[in-house]
Amino acid sequence: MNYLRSKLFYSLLIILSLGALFLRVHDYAVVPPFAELYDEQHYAFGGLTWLTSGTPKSWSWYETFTDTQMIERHGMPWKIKSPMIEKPFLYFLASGASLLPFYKADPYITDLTLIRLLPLGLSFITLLLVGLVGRKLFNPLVGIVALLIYAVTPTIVLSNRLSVTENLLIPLSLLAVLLLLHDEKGTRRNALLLGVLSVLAVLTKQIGAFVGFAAMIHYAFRKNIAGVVMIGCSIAVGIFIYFGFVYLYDGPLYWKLQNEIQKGHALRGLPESFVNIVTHPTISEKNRTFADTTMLLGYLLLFTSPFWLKKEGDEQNITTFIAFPLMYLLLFVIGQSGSVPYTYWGWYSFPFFPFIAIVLAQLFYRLWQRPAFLEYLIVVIALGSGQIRFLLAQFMEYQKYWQWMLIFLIASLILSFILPGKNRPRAYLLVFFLLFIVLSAYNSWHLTTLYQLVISGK
Amino acid sequence: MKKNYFFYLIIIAVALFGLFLRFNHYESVPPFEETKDEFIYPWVGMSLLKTGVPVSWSPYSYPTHYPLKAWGTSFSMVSPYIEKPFFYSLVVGSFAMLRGESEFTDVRLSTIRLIPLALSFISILGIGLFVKEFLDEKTAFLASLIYATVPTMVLGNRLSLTENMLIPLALLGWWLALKMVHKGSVLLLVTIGVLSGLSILTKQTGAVLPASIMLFFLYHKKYKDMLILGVFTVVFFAIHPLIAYYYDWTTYKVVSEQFRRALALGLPEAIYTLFRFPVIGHKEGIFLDGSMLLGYILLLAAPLTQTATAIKNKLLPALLFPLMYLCGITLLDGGVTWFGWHVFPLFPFLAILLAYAFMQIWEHTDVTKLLVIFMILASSSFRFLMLLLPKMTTDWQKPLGLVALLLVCIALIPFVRVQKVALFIIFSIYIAVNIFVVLQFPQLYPMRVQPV
Repeated sequence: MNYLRSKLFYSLLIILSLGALFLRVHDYAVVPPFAELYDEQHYAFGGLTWLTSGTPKSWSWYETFTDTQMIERHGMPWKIKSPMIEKPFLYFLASGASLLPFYKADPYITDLTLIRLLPLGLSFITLLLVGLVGRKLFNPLVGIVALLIYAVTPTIVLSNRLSVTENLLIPLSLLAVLLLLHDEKGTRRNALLLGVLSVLAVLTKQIGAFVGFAAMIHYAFRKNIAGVVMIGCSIAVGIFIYFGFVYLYDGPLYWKLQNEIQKGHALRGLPESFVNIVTHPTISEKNRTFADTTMLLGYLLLFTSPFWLKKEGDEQNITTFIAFPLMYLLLFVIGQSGSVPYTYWGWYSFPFFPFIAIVLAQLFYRLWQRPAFLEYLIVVIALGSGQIRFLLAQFMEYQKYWQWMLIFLIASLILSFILPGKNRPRAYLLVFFLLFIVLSAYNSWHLTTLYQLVISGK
Repeated sequence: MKKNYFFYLIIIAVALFGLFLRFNHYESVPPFEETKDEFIYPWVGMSLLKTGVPVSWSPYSYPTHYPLKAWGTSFSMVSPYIEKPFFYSLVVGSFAMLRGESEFTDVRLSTIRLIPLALSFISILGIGLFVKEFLDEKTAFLASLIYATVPTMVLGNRLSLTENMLIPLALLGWWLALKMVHKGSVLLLVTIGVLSGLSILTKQTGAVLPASIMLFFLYHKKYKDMLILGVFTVVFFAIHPLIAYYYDWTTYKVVSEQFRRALALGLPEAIYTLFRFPVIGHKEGIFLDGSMLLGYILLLAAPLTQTATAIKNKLLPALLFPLMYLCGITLLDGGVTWFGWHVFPLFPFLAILLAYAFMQIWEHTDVTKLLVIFMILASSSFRFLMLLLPKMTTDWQKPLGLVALLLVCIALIPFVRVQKVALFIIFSIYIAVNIFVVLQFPQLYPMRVQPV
């Protein structure tokens, strides 16, 4: 029986992940549009030039670089700087390697149909991991529901198409969570694997150190000093490798660059990173707000998770799970001001997304187990109004009916609780959840029109 | 008995302190023209008392209207003004007349804002009494202190708007409702009925007060009390349409429809707007305040994050009113028409939930809880300080990092007493920063005195 259940879970996991991949592949090079951000080319250029010429070169905002060269691609100029050492190299390498089969003579590939293949591949791994973490942390149903939510939420679908470092940090952090959840005895082999993941995360992006820090919290809570030391050393090794790479090319340039990045960019302005997450829901630039209430509800649940999630399962495991988004958030809040446009980008919040999907899934599971009116009401108001908004953005002639649609949702909720019949609230929840998933999938399928409509405020 | 006496003394002291904070530059911050709605109410009240016909300015199309130029701006005056109930108008209008302001252009913000200040004093006391009734004295004191000092709440409490009348009515109504559930009496029920009625006569959304109390009575199976309150509600609800009928029913219907359409403009975005546009007045005047952000997060997440037992035994009175109010806003307000004061009635409940969260941390210090609170409140306090002390602008990272480290250490300290002392100091700093910010408002928030 267990075997069958397990087989069913893995079959669903793969089928749903493939379905989600299909949703991501649809129009993947069109939306988010080319002009949305140029960081995708930043990694592609850097990686491919490094692999083909031995020196990473790419465009950059920073003025400290002395070796610059102008090129023209895609009908626009790009100021190429060398050596590209402003950020750790792993994602450059991954992006370059993914483009190598398409390389002919020009390393400056701008074609999003090629560049975005890497994040699409990474999103497939992430989808599998979301299901697995949800299953291990709570139960298989939560795993599947989390996977479904992660698969169809429009913001997440959009985010998974962008070729940015965060989309590599996500599977690395989920893999680390999974390893820790399976590490009841604290084996040295697992600690070693976690050490490797911590190194890879640091080499992906500086803030990637959160993976190691969260693992250290896991070991510290279990009083496993060897584990703490091992992970600490791994983070140090990661930093050491990065500095090795930097000094291989130009150490003094790196320090000047850091000075420019810190003083002129990251720390410019006031500490507003946290508040930006909710005041500026965006995929890329701060002013292109794509407000998705599924994400809002997820953030509310995630940020309050220390107050409630621990009661929902094994306390130690859940502390481990929470530690990852919290450590990321901590480094994010301290490391970046976020108050001026170039210090906050939507993709900074991508690493929260799988955790959001899992806490939302656990919420739905709890609502199913223990129906309670106020809980249902909040979920219906938040998710219901969000879905109506997205849907009506595409059907303008029906916009004036939004109040009636929302009243219908709330009135039917009230009726489900008032009318006799024990299972009516559950039936309501099931219908509501299915509707939520179907509408989310529909909206994600129509992102080409929806995204422009929403960010333009039409 | 002695302990109770001390509690009341403390709450009165907090309310007086809150009043002192609200008095500082109250007539010029928020500035003149933060909202011209402040003049609607005294004008309606004054005209009603003097001539028997309500006259004021309105953004809606009435059959007759004429311009009034005053203080460098113009108002589209209408008569009879019937789009809103009159209770607050009568209070503020009669007060203005008592102060010798007999003509429309005599009305001064320095006069009419005294009413919300006085109401905020009652609100702070009301929070203390209300919270003591269903939680405990410590949480009640904390909630009052938070409400008295959070910058956004102080700013909100200075505006002469109907929502600032709804707040004390809601708090007192709910305080009595809790007493009623424990020990029913006719006098209590009638008082609740009258408070609910006044709430309805203050603003249409005031109907949330009797509706939420009725739901609470239903939950406690007090069907008779619920029905009686329902009768009060219906009677008071009929008063405004009857007045409108007396003056001009056709115009009332036309204006009500315009009012509804203006609110419903756009798509349903109220929940997100709550977070995206933290404002006192108009959507453009963003005023970031970590306490408000954390409060909203706790409010919306409370039904989902608190256990059913905690909600039933403790938090239900703190959640029913704000959640029903929020539900009403979600149904009425689209994304386009949004004013900060629409959510003022939520503020006391945010303070209560903040106090409850602080008490949870006090009782069981946990590194993850501390970090969440830190990331929202500490970064906000730092931000406020940087706005006031620009020299810090380039060097906030290290102290912020140090505070984070300190909090982690506090959470891991094995000595409970040391932990409590540290938490007390940190909370005191948070309150001190709030007070400092409030006292320095002219540097932080637009300031403009009403022209003569």
